[in-house]
Amino acid sequence: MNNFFYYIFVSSVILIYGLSLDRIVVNQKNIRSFLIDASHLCLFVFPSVLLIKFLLLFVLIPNRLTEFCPFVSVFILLIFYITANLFLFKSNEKFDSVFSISFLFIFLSISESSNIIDALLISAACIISLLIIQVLLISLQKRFHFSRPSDKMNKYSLIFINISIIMIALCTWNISWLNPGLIK
Amino acid sequence: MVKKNALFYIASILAILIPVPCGLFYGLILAFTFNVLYFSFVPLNFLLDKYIEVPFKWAFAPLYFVFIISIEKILISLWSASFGMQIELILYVQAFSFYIIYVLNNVSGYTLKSKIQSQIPQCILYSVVAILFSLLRDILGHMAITFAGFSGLHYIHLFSINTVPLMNFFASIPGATVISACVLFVFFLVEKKQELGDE
Repeated sequence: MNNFFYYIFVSSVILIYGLSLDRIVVNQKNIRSFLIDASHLCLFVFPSVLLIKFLLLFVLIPNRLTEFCPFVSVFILLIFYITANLFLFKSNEKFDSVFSISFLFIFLSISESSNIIDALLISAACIISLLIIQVLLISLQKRFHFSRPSDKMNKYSLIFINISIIMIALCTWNISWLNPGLIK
Repeated sequence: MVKKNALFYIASILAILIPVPCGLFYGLILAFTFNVLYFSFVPLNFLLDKYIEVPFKWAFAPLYFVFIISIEKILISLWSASFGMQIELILYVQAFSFYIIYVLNNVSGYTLKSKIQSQIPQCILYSVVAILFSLLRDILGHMAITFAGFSGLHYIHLFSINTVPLMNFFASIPGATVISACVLFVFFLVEKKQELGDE
């Protein structure tokens, strides 16, 4: 379980790895639409990770074809994504944010895990981390709305400052910037 | 279009650049990759639209992005294997970012030339912001400018690292976020002043 908490808090996939950070900053949604997106993410990410990791361990690695892992990942995700959109949601699928976030989560889970359970745990950590940061930022936005910041203050600047405060709080264990000797 | 939503675009670009390691060289790589993706994908998409009628045509875009990033990663790994591993995830984050999808979805026009020209301001904006932000972070964080050479990264030291204490905070990811907030604040003030001047 160490990996699970590592990717949620210590080295958050959203804040430190930067997966979908740009969407969180500029494309803020309400909680309801975000929860719908999160459920879609679960639907695409878990089965894809399971299948891709299986193929990687039993087909790609024994045949020394690991360089093809990103292609296999995106191809399998496409199959799940198109099938789900055709039969479950009956919608016109396109290259949207849910697809790209799913791919990034799958890619990270596959490349940073050693077995199938690890990969599933990391992908779960990715989705939970996204959920926590998004909810935190939505609540901060509501707080800004109530406190009515000065007109001279930009909305995006406030979001970035808040993100940096959250990052510093999560990374206090890593105080390399307080130790200039490390850079010499 | 650029002027109208400049802060929105700059905020999304800066959010992509935050997790990138500190150094001008990384900014140059990201700007180069963005331009390669844009200037190769738009003509390819134009040809697909014109000559091939297949369902799920949008699925070609992620496959093509993965293809380009894989080739770039292999080329970078030939130069330095550790550097290739370090930058791979960032290249994918950039290729699958909100900004690039937004730019590609807004390509408009009927001829290839007009299609390419429609989003050139966004390409220039991305390249300029990526390079200037990396340069600023490099100067503040390392007090140096980082270049790539055949034997690895080279630093041109502008000041001693001890000139101003604790400046290496800006080389870290939280430091990059603070710089982003400051950059956006400055842009916002400039935009407001311009608006007041116009009135």
